[in-house]
Amino acid sequence: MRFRHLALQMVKYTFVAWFVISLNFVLSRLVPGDPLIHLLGEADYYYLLLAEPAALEALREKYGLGDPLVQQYGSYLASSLRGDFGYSYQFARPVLELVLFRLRWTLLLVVPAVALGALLGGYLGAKAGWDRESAVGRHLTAVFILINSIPPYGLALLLLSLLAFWLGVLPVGGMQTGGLTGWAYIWDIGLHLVLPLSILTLYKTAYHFLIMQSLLDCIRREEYVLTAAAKGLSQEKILWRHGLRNALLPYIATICMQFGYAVAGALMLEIVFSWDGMGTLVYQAVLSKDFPVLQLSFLVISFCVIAMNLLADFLYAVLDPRLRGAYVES
Amino acid sequence: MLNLNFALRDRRVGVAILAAFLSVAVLAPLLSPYDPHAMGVPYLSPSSAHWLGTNDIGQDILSELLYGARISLFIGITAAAIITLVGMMVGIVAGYLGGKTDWILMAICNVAMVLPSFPLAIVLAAYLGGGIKSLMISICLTAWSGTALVVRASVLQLRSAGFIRTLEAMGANSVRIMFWHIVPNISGLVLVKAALAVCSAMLAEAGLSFLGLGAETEKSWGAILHYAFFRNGVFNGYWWWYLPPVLCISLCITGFMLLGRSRRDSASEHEVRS
Repeated sequence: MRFRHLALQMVKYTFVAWFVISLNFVLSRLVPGDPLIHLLGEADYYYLLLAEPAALEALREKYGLGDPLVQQYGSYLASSLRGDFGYSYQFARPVLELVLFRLRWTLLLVVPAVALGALLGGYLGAKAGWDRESAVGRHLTAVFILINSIPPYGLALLLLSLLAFWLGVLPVGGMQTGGLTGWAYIWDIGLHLVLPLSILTLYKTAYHFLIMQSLLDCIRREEYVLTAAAKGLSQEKILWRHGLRNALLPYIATICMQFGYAVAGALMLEIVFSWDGMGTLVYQAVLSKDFPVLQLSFLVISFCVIAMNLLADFLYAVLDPRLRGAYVES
Repeated sequence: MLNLNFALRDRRVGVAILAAFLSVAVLAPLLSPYDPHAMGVPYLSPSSAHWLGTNDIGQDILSELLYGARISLFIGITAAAIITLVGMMVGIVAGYLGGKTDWILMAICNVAMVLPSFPLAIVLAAYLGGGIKSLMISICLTAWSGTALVVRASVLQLRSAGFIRTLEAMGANSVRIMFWHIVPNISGLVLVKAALAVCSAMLAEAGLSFLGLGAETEKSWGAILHYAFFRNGVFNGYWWWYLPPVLCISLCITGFMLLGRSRRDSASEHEVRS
């Protein structure tokens, strides 16, 4: 049962991956204008069009843009499987190399933020969900709801101007001052990381707090909680030993499945803080219409999200005793 | 803080916030002291002539904000209406008809759920170019899936209810059952989802406009923020330029969120009582 479920999910994710790859192809061919513009960049395209039309035709041959669409799609799929996603005219490098390099910096921001936010939000949310009238429940719920309605980059702008511009306690942007090595280099990156990381962590904490709170708010009314209380267990023990345990599985699954939103939030923050990860890369690609970079960035982010979804399904299959039981029965 | 917490459970607070923003949007031409596109002296700080100063090309920021309410609310509400309508239709049809239709619709829905919506919107908006139409497509393309799943789940419960079975036994047309009898029963749920859809649509619009992917000639709050940031309003300390749009977006989203939350709260209280 549980392996059948996992296999089904794998089929679904393969389909999603195929869909994303194909969507990139369809978009680049459907959009009005010569597809060569998207491969060469506007500047080079118009230069060649005026100065050397013959070279432009040769390039069209080389990229197979004269072939029937089906054949083009076939060779597109084949080169995608080989990991050949083209060349960025803006950075003059293969896009795969470029995007994977930038991805590391984004993950340096996203992974600690999600982990910290999940722990902090989970802990506070558990307390608030268990006892609505507790100090945590009364005060933090309102604060976190309000935070959730401020766009992250908006809050980032305000804090940036306050801490970095007016008070001057933190670096204004970028990832490093430059010219440093060893521990000084790491400390410097850490300083640049403080503001974007704390804002992203704050948002993840707020989100996970509200999730955990509503999970425990439901569990609190379950009959086994009443039984545990009747047995004479303290509220603390019921919460951490029985309540939390039952909330943990859907909670972990939510963390994994929300990963895509965390990445999206990080993209915007990176732009505000000129952190050289995927976000600034995507922004530069949008500005210069560097479509190969844009396409692969979307593909890589989608693959990260798919991987996290798969992880959620896998954890369910391994951890959920109900699925395990069903497996034994069958 | 206790008052804040209390206010956040009160639907009237949400209604009041939204009523204020809606009337500003409608009355923008009457309220605005200047034409938001008219240029003048740049970088003026707030004064009695320009309450919120001027931007880099001397446009009055207060007028920009008032007109911005029109664009931001229009895009947010229209996109949310499309998202909710599509999600509701898919959810009802999948839940009520079941079988192969359900399987196919849910397969599409599952794909839409997994796709990272904001990065997809960036790619789409970049390909389609600026403009309200491409902004709408980018926002709506995957956002309907959440509503569809929730609606389907509650239609599945309703399908076996007595009154639906009676209607079926009487030979009622299934289209009529779906859209005449099931819709009123899920309207509370759909309205909650609609209010939250406005929040996510407004956030998506603001984000895309902040990146410069919005409707180029229109002044939404996100677009004002775009210029405030990328033309160095932040690093020059022009707070009157970047602070107001952030406040407007946040306050408006809080309003819609309160509308959604309090509706859900009163719905669950109703369930408990009955």
